Formats: sequence, C-alpha cells, structure tokens
Amino acid sequence: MRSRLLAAVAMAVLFAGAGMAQAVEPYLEFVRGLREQQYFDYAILYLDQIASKENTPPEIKQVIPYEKAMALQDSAKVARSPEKQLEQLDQALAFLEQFVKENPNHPIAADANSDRAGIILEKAKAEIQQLRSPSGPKKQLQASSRELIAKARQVYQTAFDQHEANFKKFPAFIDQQKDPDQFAARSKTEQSLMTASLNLAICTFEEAHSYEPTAAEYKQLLTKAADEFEKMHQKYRTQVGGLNARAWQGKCFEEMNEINKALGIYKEILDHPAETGVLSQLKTQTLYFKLICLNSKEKRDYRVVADLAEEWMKKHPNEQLTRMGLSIQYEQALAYEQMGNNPEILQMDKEAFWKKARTVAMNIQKFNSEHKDAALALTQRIQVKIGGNKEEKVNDFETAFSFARQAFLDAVETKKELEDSTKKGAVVPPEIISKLNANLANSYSDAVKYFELAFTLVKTAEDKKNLPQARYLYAHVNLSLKKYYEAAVLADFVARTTEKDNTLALDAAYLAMAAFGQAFNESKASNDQKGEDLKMIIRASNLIAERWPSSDKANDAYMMLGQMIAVQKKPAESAMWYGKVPESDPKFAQAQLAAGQAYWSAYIGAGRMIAAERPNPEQLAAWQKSAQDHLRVGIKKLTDTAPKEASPPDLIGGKMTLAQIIINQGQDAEALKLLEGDPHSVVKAVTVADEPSRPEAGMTSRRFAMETYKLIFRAYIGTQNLDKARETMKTLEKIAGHGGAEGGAEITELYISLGRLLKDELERLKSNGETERFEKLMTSFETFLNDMASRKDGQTFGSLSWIGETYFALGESVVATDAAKANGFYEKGGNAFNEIMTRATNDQNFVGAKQLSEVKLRLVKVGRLRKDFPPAETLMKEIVKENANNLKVQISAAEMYQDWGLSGQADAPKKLIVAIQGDTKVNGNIWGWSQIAKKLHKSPNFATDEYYKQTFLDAQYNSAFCRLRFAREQSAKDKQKHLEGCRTELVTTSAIVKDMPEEQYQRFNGLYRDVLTDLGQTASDLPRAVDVAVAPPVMEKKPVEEAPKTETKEGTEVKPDKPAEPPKIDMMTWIIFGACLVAGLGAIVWVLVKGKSKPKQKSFGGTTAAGPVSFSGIEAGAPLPAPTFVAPTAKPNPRPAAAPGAGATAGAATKPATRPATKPAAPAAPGAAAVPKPKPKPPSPPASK
Amino acid sequence: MKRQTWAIASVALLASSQLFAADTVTRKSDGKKLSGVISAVSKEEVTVKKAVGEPDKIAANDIQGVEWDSGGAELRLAYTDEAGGKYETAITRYTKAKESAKNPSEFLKAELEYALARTAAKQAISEGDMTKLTKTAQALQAVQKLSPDHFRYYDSMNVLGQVQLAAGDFAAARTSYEVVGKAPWNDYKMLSRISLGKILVAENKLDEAAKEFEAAAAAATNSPTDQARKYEAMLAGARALVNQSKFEESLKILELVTDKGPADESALQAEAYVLMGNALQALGRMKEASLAYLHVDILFAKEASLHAEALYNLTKTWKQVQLPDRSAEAEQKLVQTYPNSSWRKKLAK
Repeated sequence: MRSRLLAAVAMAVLFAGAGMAQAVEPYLEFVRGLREQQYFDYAILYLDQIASKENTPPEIKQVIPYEKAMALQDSAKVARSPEKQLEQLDQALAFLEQFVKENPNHPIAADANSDRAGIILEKAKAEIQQLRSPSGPKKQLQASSRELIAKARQVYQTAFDQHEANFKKFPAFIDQQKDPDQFAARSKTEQSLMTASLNLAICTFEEAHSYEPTAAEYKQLLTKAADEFEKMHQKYRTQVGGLNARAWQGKCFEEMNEINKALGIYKEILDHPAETGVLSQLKTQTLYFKLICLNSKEKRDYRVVADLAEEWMKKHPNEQLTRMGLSIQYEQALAYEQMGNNPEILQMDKEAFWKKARTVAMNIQKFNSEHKDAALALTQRIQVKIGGNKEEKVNDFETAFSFARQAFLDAVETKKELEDSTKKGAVVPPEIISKLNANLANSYSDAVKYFELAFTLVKTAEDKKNLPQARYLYAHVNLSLKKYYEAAVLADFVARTTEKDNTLALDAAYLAMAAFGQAFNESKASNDQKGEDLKMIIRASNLIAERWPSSDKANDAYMMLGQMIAVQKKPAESAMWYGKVPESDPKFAQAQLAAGQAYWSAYIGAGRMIAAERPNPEQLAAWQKSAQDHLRVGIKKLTDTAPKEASPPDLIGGKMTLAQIIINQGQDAEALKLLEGDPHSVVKAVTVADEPSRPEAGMTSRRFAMETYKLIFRAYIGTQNLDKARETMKTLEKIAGHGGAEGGAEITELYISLGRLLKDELERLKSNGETERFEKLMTSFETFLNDMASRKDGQTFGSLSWIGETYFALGESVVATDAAKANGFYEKGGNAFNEIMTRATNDQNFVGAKQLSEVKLRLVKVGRLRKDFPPAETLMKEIVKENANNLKVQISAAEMYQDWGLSGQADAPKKLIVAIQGDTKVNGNIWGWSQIAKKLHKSPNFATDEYYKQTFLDAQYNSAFCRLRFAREQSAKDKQKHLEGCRTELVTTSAIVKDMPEEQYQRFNGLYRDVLTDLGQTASDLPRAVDVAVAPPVMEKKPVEEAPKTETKEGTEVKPDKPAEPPKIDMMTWIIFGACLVAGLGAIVWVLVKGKSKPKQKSFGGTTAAGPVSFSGIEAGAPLPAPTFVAPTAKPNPRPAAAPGAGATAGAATKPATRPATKPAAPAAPGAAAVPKPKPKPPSPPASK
Repeated sequence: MKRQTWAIASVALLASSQLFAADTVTRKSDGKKLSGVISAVSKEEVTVKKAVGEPDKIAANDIQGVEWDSGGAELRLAYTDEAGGKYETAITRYTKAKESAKNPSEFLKAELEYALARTAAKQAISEGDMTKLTKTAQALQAVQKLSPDHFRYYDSMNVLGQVQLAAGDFAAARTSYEVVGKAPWNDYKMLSRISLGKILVAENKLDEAAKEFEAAAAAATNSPTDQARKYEAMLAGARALVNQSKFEESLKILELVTDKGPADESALQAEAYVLMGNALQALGRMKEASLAYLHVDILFAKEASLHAEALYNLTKTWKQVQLPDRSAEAEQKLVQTYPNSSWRKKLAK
C-alpha cells in the first residue's frame, strides 16, 4: 500500500510538472481519477496546487471549489469517525456555497445546489438519528433538524428551478439519431430535475422523523410525503424516477404501519421485467424495503426474508458490500435470528439458524454502514444464545456500551412481552412465561456486566461524551433490578453533571427523584432512616425545581415536594410548592386541592399544639382562608372540566374538605349546597343502589358515605333544621347498620364518633381563640339537643345514643371553665342512656344485648364524669361479670378506678392500686392496667399490629402514672419503693417498644423526669430503646401465658376483642405521615375518597396531600406498589382517665401536666389518618434502538 | 451508483488503514488522534512523524494515551487494565508485551519499563505494603535513571512521590515533588504544590498545607487541565479539614468539587466522594455517607484504591442504616475484588 501511495504522489508530481510543459492538461480527469482511487487528500492537494498556478485555465479555476467539495464529500463517506465526517461535509458545504455564490449561472450550479441540499439533508438526518438517543437535547435537536430540512428544501427548490430552466432550454423534440449529444444532455437534465423533485418529497419524509411516531405531525407528514411521491410517480410513471418515487411512497405506508399497502407497491416494482442498470438498483432498494416489511411483527415471514435475501445475493455477487447489499444481509440476519427463536423447533435447529445469523452479522460488522453497531449487537445476542466467550473481544468502551445497551433494550422488550403474556385474558403457556422470565434475567445480567465493564474502559473523548448516556441507562437497569439507591446515585450524578440543556439531564433528575421515592416506599428501616430517605426525595425534587423550573417535570417535582414537605409537618411550605404548579399543567386542579388540604391540615394541627407553640389567630385565619381559596380554585377547575355526570374523586374529596371548613365558619347552608348540589353532587357520588353491596374502599365505601352524612347532619344542626337532621340520622343509621356482623356496634360507634367530632370542633375553636364561634356552636347544639331530648315519640336507640354522647361532648368542652354546667350536661347525657335502659326493659326489641352493654358502659362513664363512683363501680362489676375477657370493658374499668383514685375523695389513693393491679376478688376479675399491658404484650399480634402497641403504651403509661400518684400519697420509705418501681416500669417500656413514636416518647419522658425529681434525683431523659441495657422487660419474668381470650359476638373465645381491623402500617409511617393528616375530617375524607388501594383514575389522578404522586409517561422497571391509603377504622381506644381537678375534658395539648394519657395519633374517628406514599415512576426507558 | 462506489471504497480504506497502522498519540486537550511514527521523545514532548506534512509535537502533559504500532494487543490491554485498577493483570500483560514486542523502538522499550514500574508502584500504594513500596520506589528510580529524557519522566516522578509519601519518607517525597514542579507546564507546577501540601498534611502542618493548597488553586488559569488541578487543590484542602475534624467545612468544599469539578476526572471525583462519606459518617449522617460511598462503587470503581476504601466503609455504614444485606454484599465485593488491599485486611481485623 505504501508503494501505491508513492505511485500516486509520483503521479501527482508528474502531472504538476507536466502542467508546466503542456498547454492543456486533463485537470479534472486527474482529480476524478484520484477520487476514484480514494486519494482524496491528494486530490485536494492537487486542486490547491493548480489553483495557485497562473497558467491554469480560468474555467478550471472556476470549478475548483466545486471539485474540492466533491472530493471532501467522497472522503466523508469513508471517514471512520463521525466527527471527521461532519468536519469534511461542512467543508464541502462551504466550498459548494462559495461556488454557487461566485457562479450562480454556471451550468453545474444546479448540480452544486443539489449537492448542497444533499449535505444539508444528511446533516438533518444525523440530528434525527441523535433524536432516537436518550441523551440528545430533544427539543433543540427537533428544532434544528427541522430548520436544516427547511433549508435543504429551499436549496433543492432552487436546484429544481435551475434544472427546470435548463430543461426548458432544450427543444421539445430532439432526434436521438441526429443529435445524440443534445439528446443525452437533455436526458441528464431531466434526470436531475426528477432527482430534485424526489428529494423535495424526501425532505417531507425526513421531516416526519423529526417528530415522535406517536405525534400527529408524524402521520400527517408521512401522508403528505406519500402524496408528493405519488404525484411524482404519476408524472414520471414511465421512467425510473417515477418508480423510485413509488417505492418511497411504499416506504411511507410501511412507516404508517400499512404493511400490505406497502407490499403491494413493492410488488409492482419488483415485478418489473427489466433487470439492468438503474432499475436494478431501484429493485434492490425496493427489495430491502420489502424485507423490512416481511420481518415486521405483523408479517413475521422470516423464511421468505432469508430466501429472498439469499436469492438476491446469488444474483448480485458484486453488490454484497454495497450499502444496500449490507442492508439486505442485515435483514437476513435478523430473519435467521427470529427463526432460531421459534420455541417449537429443536435446539439443534435453533442453533443452526442462530449460527447462520451470526455468520451474516459478523460479515456486516466488518464494514462501515448504518448496520454496523446493530450487527455487532446481534452477534453478541447470538453468542449468548448459543454460548460463547464474548468477554475476550470487549476491550473498548464503545463495544462494551453497545453490548450493554443492546442487553438493556432486549430486557425492555422482553419485559413488555412478559407483561403482554401475563395480561388478563392472554393465553400463554407457562413454559413460555418461564422462558421469558429467564431471558429477562439474562438480559439484565448481561446489561449489568457490560455497563460495569464499559465504565472501566472509558478512555477517549468520545467515550466520555457517551458516558452520561451509559450511566443513565445503567440507572434504568438498576431501577428495574430494584437497586434504587444505585439507580438514584447514577441518575442524580448525570442530572448534576450534564449540561442543563441536554434533555438527558432532566430525564435523569426525574429518574433520581423516582428512584429515591421507590427506596422510601420499600424501605423497612427505622424511623430515622426513613426520614433520611425523605430528605433524599426532597433534595432530588429540589434539583428539578431549581435547574428546570419551567419544565413539565418540574411540576411533578413541585407536587412531590408538596407531598413530602407536608409529611415533614410543614403544611404551609408544602402548600407553597403545590401552588407553584401552573394553571397550564393538567395537575393544576389537583395541586390546588392539595394546597388547600395542606393549609387546612396546618389549621387543624394548630388546634392540637400547646399554647406556646401555636400560631397566632391571624396566622390561623390566614391558613383557613388560604385553604378555602385553593380548594375553591381546584373545585372550580375540576367542575368546569369534568363531565357533569362524573364524580371525580379529587373533586368530591375537595368538596368534602371545603364543606368542613365552611361548617367550621358557620356557613352551614353553603356547605349543604356544596354537598348536595349538582353537578358532581357528593351525596350522589356516595349513593349506592344496594346498601349491603358497598365496597371496602372508595367513594361509595361505607366509611366514606358515613363521613359525608355526618357532615350533612352537622350542617343541618347548624341550620337548626331538626327534621332534616333526623332524616339524615336515619340515613346514617341505615348505612352503618349494614356493616355486616358488626352493624349494631357500628351504630354505637357512629354516635360516639359524632359526639367526639363535636367535642373536637369545640376544643379547636376554643384553643384557636374563636370564642364567639364556640359560644354560638354550644348554644346551637344545646338548643337542638334539648329539643330532641324533649320529644317522647320517635326516639330510637340511635337518637338517644346521639343525645347522650353529644351532651357528654358539651360537658367535656366546658368542664374546665364551668364545672357545674358540665355536670348538668353529664346528667342530661345520663338521662338519655337511662331512657334507653328503661325502654329496653319495656321492649326487648328496642336494643340488642351487645348494645345494652355499651349503654351500661356509657352509664359508668356518667358516674365517672360526675365523680359518683360507687354506683358506677356496681354497674362496672356487673358488666365485667358478663364480659370478663372484653378488652374494652377492662379498659373502662381501669379508667374508672384511675379517675376514682385521682378524685381526692376519701381513701381514693387505694383505688389507684386497683387501677394498676386490678381486683381478682370481685366477680369477673378486673385486670387493671398492668394485666391489660401484659396480655397485649403476650399477644401474637403485638409485633405486627399497631393497635396492640398503642393500647399497650397507654396501659403502661397509665399504670406508671397511677403508681407515681399513689407513691406521692405514701410515707417516705414506701414512696421511694413505689417510685423505683415506677422508674423501672418506664425504662422497661422504652426497651420493649424500640420504635416508640416521638410524641409517645415525650409523654413517657415527662413522666420519667417527674419520677426522678420525686426521687430527689436530677431529672434526666428516659433512655431510648438503643440505650437501654436492661433486659428482659418485666413482663418476661413470668412463664409465658396464653394470649388473653375475649368474647366475640358468637361467644367463642379468641384473642382480645378488637372492634375493627387496625391499620396495617408500621409505627414509623405513622410518625411520618400522621402529623399532616391527624384528626381533621378534611384529611379523613381526602383519604377515604381516594380509596384504599385502587389506582387513581387517570383523568383526575394527581397528587394530593394524602395521595400518591403520579408521574406521566412512565413505565417503572419493577412492579410498583399500589397507592397505600390506610384509613384506620373506628375502635375503642383506651381513653385516659382524668386527672383530679382538671376534669376529663381538657384538651391533651392544652393541659399536658394534668392530663395523664392521651394518644396524639390515636385513630379517634373512622378513617383518621392516611399515608401518602410517593409513587414515583421513572421515565420510560428509551425504547428505540 | 454512488452507493456502490461508497461501499467498495470503504472496504479499500479499511484494508489500507491496516497497512498504514502506525503509532497513535491521543491528545488530551482536544481528544484528537495523531498517527504516524513516534520519531522522538523527550521529557517535554513526543514527536509524531506523519506520512505527509509537518510532524506533530505533543506536549507530555497533553498526552491522553499512546498506541504503539509494535506494542501489540497485550500492550493495549495492559493500559486498559492499569486504568481499571487491575494492577496484577496489567503487570502480567506489560511483561508479555515486553517479551513479544516486534522490533520495539528505544522509546517503546523505555515506555514498557516505565509502565511496569509505575503499575507496580500503584499496586504497592493500594495494598499499603511497606516492602513493596520500598521496592517499587527503587524500580521507579532505576527506570528514571535509565531513561531520563522520556515523556513519562515527570509522571513517574509524581508516582514516586506518592510511593515515598505512602512509605512515610517525607523528605524523599518532597524532593520528588519538587522535580515535578520543574516541569514546564503550569498544571504540573500546581500538581507539585498540591503534593507538597499533602506532605505537610501528613506532617500535621495543617496551616502550612492549607496555604499550599490555596496557592495551588490560585495559580489556575482557565485551561481545563488547570481547572481540574484547582479542584484537586480544593480536594486536598478538604482532606486537611477532615483530618482536623472540621467536617461541616469540608463538606462545603466537597460538594463544590463533586458538583462543579470535572465529572469525568474519575480519580478526583472518587476521592471527593470517599472524603464526603468519611465526613458524613463522622457527623453520624449514615445514609448520606452510604450514598456518597456508593458513588465510588458504581461510578468510579476503576479507581481501585478508593474503590476498596469505599467498599470497606460501605460494609460499616449500610449496617448502620439497617441494611445488613447490602453490607454483606459490599464485604463480598471487597474480598473478591481486592483480596490483597489494605482495606480488605482492615476488614479482617
């Protein structure tokens, strides 16, 4: 080869020298000769040489820029690096532009323009190619490729006009015999004209590719291109140019998935009898197009592809290495691979096909073509299938990355196949499914191996350029493999270190956010660690919000930030993020609703704060107003956009919350309009044709319907509409009464919860300083109750229960300020319950046995509240005798003795011991706090059931509290002994409950510090679980006891009675999510309306304070957990006993020192809490190859 | 017709490119490959003679990599292994390449000697083996003496300084780093200052060290290499802060390095993330520390020594964040990938 080079140089020198001696020199012939021999450098060198010579003819000098462009263009075609290609094409373009500018009327100016346009179009195609890569700055590339295409079209048009003008210069008729040269010249011009025309249509065809295949423009442009090709075909149908246009028309159809139409066109061309010259080339190209169709999923005619390709190769042995030849071979290799994939053939046959595919692919990859990479990947796929050692050949980043990418794409494809195969209704044999699973595992394993290898092989600048894309894809692989931290770290790194304008960076940031979200969702770590995960999500979301504030994905990030920050108990900040979602975003309405929800949660939460920490009334009023404003905007937006007959869950939930707010402000009539009015009536949304058929979750669930009617009931009381209130009460009873076996208990619970709801509302108004509203509400209820109570007719168990409970609530709301008034209310409450007892005596059908026990318990409560303990004790003993193993009864008994012990009455301290230790002497065996705690701890459900843990903690707390108070009444020596016991009890509790929620811990800690102070020691903090060295806990000292048995309705003995299924959620989640959702009915309905585990409705899906984040355009690598909404059901929580002097009604937060035990996160009402889990879905992995 | 010509032409070019196979030097500054015959080398540059035109001269500090015509496949693989931290295999391959090279030039012979000594030195540093450190320092000095006017000279002097520093021979290290500072390029002068600062850190002269690092960073021009060095200086400063238990301060610098520093400078990034992990760990922020170390494991695993250190720490931090399975995975990886590393040994203790 060196000698060839030398010969060429010598030739060049010879020619150069000869130039001096000869007048005429075949300049251009020599240049073209050098080009044909691929001595492009020398061709350019020679052109430079003659350009500088004085004696070079001017007509030659004139075309030198054009000739240089031709040499550069040819050189670019064989350049090995894309950069080099681009560089040479740019140079060629510059020379062509120079030429046409200097010689606009030169005979070859039209050709030069055609070449110019060709280069510009090639550049556009290169950019379109990059569009298929996930790393490309998509919008930018789309815009610039379209710009280039427009430019190419313009230049082609100029060329077309010039060719047309040239063509028109020829006479209409030329006798080929007489004037063959002119005839040939005209033919050539006509051919150029046709080519320009064809290229103009190709511009349209390529422009289609600058859009996503799913975009409307894609199809529109392909249709347009097909029309343009058709017009050309009609015009030149007897010429090859016309047929070529026809072939491209077929290609348009193929790309629009009209395969049969395309094949029909290809058949026309391939059936043409001529086999030579240009037509032969056209037929080759058409055959290639046809093979693509036959290899498609619609046709799967792999055998035909293989045979046709083979036949073509035999006929065209010299064209096998042409671009078309390699393309045809690539289709053949694909066909062989697919034939080998046939599950129904023998392994040896499979391998035979795969080997054929490998042989063909290895041949293709030796040469430069657009199929080189794909052929390499195909070879590797086959290697995996038939077993072979490919590692030895992978020594560079490019190859390793190519394998990795291919393996990843295979995995994506297999996963899709697997999903299709496992879809409902799909009939796929299990062995195929298991094979697909094996393939998927192999593909991921290969992907991991090659990505990791690729990262160790990064060397060149080109490698570094591709590194972010490799990392991004590897992040997807990790996500699919549920390695969320790895995925997040990779994606986050790409997001931070890649140019902001590159779409990849934003995609990566989004992926990082999603991966951290998944890690959070699936984490089983402790509270602290989950808190760390939360921080990561916030950080990743912040990155998007800061770097790409106006992107669509930023809106998802705002939603995520809103949700996560709400979890961090910063509702106002959370609402601020929700508020950033612009009106143009489809999630705007959801964001507004969530923002309103966040403000309302802040307002509700403030009512539970201690006075020192509570925001001032102005701030509270502002939150309440913001909550309303946002909710109103969200409701309006959804009302305007949703179909009138639909009941979008977000809208219904929003209306419920807003109704609660305005009821809170006394706007009961408006609330009723909101709940009952059309369109999108809440009442209609919760109504079912058949009560017993209510689902477990969602808007028509029993719980949600009850919450709706409770609000309506409350609003009717507010409007003093007694009849409507009673009617609503009946509806409520009807709904509650169909709660299956627990129906009766549900009704009791319903009225207890209604009373509690009122109490909460009154306490909130009081603690928020809304005295006027408080007084008004008190009066309103009192009037209503008095009226209700005075009616002798029409009373039911339910109405009397409600009257009793509501009087209790009123009493508890005023006991701190007006004990006499409270006592009056308690008495009236007791009267209502006594009325039930009387009616039950007279009418056996008036109330069931279980409900009667409940009534007795309420009468015990009357005694407690009125401090009339002896008769309460008598009644209590009666109840215990009948329900010895009923946990709720035992808790009530312990509470009663605790209240008695703290009452200051004679011998009261002794009752504290009964509260702690119980009383085995009385019939039925009263357990006391100690036994209650012990039995709960021994229960097999203790480790998994949150209700057991919470009740246990309350029992332990009350036990220690009673002991402390008892100790204070003892002599110094006994006091010491009891205080020590108390201390041990507290430390032991801390050791047992390792993940004690912070608020619970603070409660125990306060008591612990008091004990130390009483012991005369310096107060210090209660050791946390990790610090506690003491073991085993007190309860472990005794032999293992059986779990406590309690009576069920049927009378069989089972585990402790638990009125309803407690929330299946770990304590950590309670802590994290509890705060923003506690207590507020708005929050409750928000949760209930979203359903427990149903996926959101797509059209209205979005994030709410209590709902999961939904990401658009997504396919998660792994099955994602369903949104988790845990709405604890109503249950009798062990209520703490009242401290002397404080009364049982003082708010826990407002009187922490005198109120011994409260449960901050207690599910005090049905559906009192919900857990928003981020439901991050990563952006879909790039699917195109 | 054009398509046919194009394809056949490409075959011809492929054939010719094999016959023209020559030495290729890749330039760091623009990633350009310069092919021809390496006709001269010195401490400062490499000269590549082309078939046509003026020879190319590439400054030694601008050399990304060299492909030697007569080096063969083993040599290429050896470079890859060395870059990937597979020192043992790299040494084997370099040795094979040395034995199988066909008519190697004097430059290639020296290159192979430098490569062998350098790789052994890196291995000794990663293993922390005192005997090996001493031995490899001697080997480096021997090859420097034999081929002092070679483009690998200054780099080898830097590696020698690292070996001496690892061995605790501060005076010798100082001498070596001072030689690095005599190189005619600013980035090497900066490197020298940074390295001298590191000696001061090892000597616990932290204030003086900080001054060196600051001076090094201040000397950076806008060139990419200088900028990379600037971040190296910042990183060294952060390390000094970590040594002084000023974790919060060090984190601020480290965040800057990882966010703004060159993302593809894997050694720089890997060290930054390890240091970040250390600082976070010291502050009890275990989950964040785990994620910092994880960066090294999945993004910069080719930095063998730092990778081993990250894996070692991951075995601890994953446990702390209640992910014992991950801890076990990290341990297994450390044991399998770096059976002889000092971190592996530390794990066993």
